[in-house]
Amino acid sequence: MRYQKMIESISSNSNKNDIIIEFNKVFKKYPNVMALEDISFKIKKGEIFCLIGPNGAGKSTTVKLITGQIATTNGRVYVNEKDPIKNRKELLGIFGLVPQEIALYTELTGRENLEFHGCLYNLSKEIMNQKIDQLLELAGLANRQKDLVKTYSGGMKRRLQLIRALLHEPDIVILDEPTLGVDVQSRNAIHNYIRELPSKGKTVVLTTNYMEEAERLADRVVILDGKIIEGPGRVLEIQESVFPNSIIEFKIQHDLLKDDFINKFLVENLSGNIISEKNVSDTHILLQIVFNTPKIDYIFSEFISYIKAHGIKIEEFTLKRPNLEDVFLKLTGKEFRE
Amino acid sequence: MRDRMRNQIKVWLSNFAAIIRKDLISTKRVKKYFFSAVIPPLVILIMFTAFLQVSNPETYTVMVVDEDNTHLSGVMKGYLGNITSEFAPWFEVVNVRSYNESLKLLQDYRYLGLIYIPAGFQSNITSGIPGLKGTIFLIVQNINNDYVKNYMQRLDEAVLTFNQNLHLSPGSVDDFKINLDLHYAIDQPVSSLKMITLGVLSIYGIICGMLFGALNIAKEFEDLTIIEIANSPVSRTAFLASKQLIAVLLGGIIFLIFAILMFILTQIQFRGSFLIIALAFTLSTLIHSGIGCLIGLKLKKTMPVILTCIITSMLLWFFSGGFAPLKILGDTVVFVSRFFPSTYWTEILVSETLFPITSYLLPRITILIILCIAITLISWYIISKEGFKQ
Repeated sequence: MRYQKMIESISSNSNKNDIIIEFNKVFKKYPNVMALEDISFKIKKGEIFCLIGPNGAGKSTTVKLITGQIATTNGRVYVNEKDPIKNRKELLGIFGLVPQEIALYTELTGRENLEFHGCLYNLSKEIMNQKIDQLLELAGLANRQKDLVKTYSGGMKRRLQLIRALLHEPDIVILDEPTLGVDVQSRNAIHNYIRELPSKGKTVVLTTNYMEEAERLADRVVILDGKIIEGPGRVLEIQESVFPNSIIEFKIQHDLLKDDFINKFLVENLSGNIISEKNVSDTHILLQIVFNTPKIDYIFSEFISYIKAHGIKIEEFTLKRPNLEDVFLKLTGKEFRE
Repeated sequence: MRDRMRNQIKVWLSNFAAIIRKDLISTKRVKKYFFSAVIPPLVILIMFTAFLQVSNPETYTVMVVDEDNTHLSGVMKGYLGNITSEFAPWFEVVNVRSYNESLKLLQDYRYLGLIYIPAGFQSNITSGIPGLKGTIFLIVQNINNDYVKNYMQRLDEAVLTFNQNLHLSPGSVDDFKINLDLHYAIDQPVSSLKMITLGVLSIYGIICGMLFGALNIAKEFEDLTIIEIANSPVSRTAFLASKQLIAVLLGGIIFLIFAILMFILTQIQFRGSFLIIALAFTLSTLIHSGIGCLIGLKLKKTMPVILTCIITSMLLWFFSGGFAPLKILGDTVVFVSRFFPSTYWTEILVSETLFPITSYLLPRITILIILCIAITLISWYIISKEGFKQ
């Protein structure tokens, strides 16, 4: 259902395929290390584009290249068809950056931080106050707005950083690991808010280490590890390309197989896929079915309807489906990164 | 075009004001931050002042008042000048216009003594009237000091040489045409408290400026808020100018408070122009806040910044003549001191406050203006280039 919604959302966006950010054969070399190698991708207006990769994969370097903080060693970056270094002054107003680190004035109140930000972006006082009230309410910080930021929890600081980046109505919101080290509630609130951004015409560039975050939020992802390992593409597409098959396991009574209900379903719906049987007890059998991942939603709903219709009792049911984390580990390896 | 420029200026000023407001609020709220900029240099400077009060109370400047203003009084002054400079280079002769003024200075300040050549000095010598002599009055303080005794002997020699060279009377001492009259002696050490106090005050004001400049920049790095600044369209000049202005403002307030305190405690009177002092202070604090900003950029943490600024303040103090008159410390120190902008500021403050000498004001102010422009531009360039790479 979720995927269905996402696919719909992407297809509804397909008419706004204007490119807002483009990387064209980008290389970035630091004195001792090649941070990025031959990176090319395009980010469309109004999408949530996610950069995932292990530590040191070049995600933050990519962000810095987008915002024009550093220059490429080779290749070109375009933001709104402009060079972010040459046109930095002009482009800075269109970015809303949420850095990886907590970068707030801790001796100022939450509201003062936002007011200062508003002044840096030359917002008129009236509009600024109106926006600040709105955003504080949205972030659940309205009742703490007059408290010093140093008294805020990590999650509150993250939320404040997020709304600060949105205060000046940027076209591109860059979120560099925005939920790093925050509690589940704050993470959930941040996710909900990020998900709303494309509908407000914002393009979101998200870097994260949390695969579940990317799966939950991203329209498209790219997996980086110095170079592009996979993507850019939809999460589902990437999952399918790396793991073409998924597995369903269910435990049923032996005698149910004799009734041939299950067999019939399997033959009708899953012909051509591997089906294994394993006795797990005197009375029960574990069936393992491997099938193409793209069919998963369909098979799942069909299977549930089928067993309901036939009154089959299933003792255990497991859907072993590769998630983005499996994809990520397969592509980037399991060894530790510095 | 004009509207665009007006708009840009408006934006610049708005950014500038926002950063100043933010920094003032921060400084007000973070007591630790404020006191770390004010207390450590003060404690150390007070310690040094106390130490110097005990160890090195004498200064060696002698005033000369020539009310005769004749050829012979001029020759006599030449002798006095030569004898002192040959004896020891740190004995200085300073011309003062009137006797009353010199008396006031003598009571008020650190001068070792006063040589007074009254009107009628030449006419007495050349009158031909037996027994009528040209008299030089010497008012000297700290007569028991060995240096002073030695100095007195040299003065006697100067007078003797003058008499001999006049060829007026090669005979007995009675025939000498001039007379050295030790008019007044105080058996009390001359205190250089006021001089040292001014030295401390001058350095303290600019050190506070330097520390605030350094801390303001370092804090942006320590709190990582420089990321916010670097990624905002705020003008870098507005950012840097506001940081320096805050430093000058806070340094100025502290300087003013301590100037008032010192006036109350030591009765120092500012005789010179307030405008000149304010200008020289602003220039030198701008220079040092620029240096402070560079220190903040390099160290990026508040504690190392404070330590570095304290060490730097000691250097500035030493090479600005706060430790002891520069001439006593030798030619090398005098030479090196010329490279420290604080030297010029201290000299201006001291001269505007204590000395009636203003002849070297213009070159020193000019040097400060040049250094201010150069150091501000260099620090802005380096910080813009390096500091915003976050």
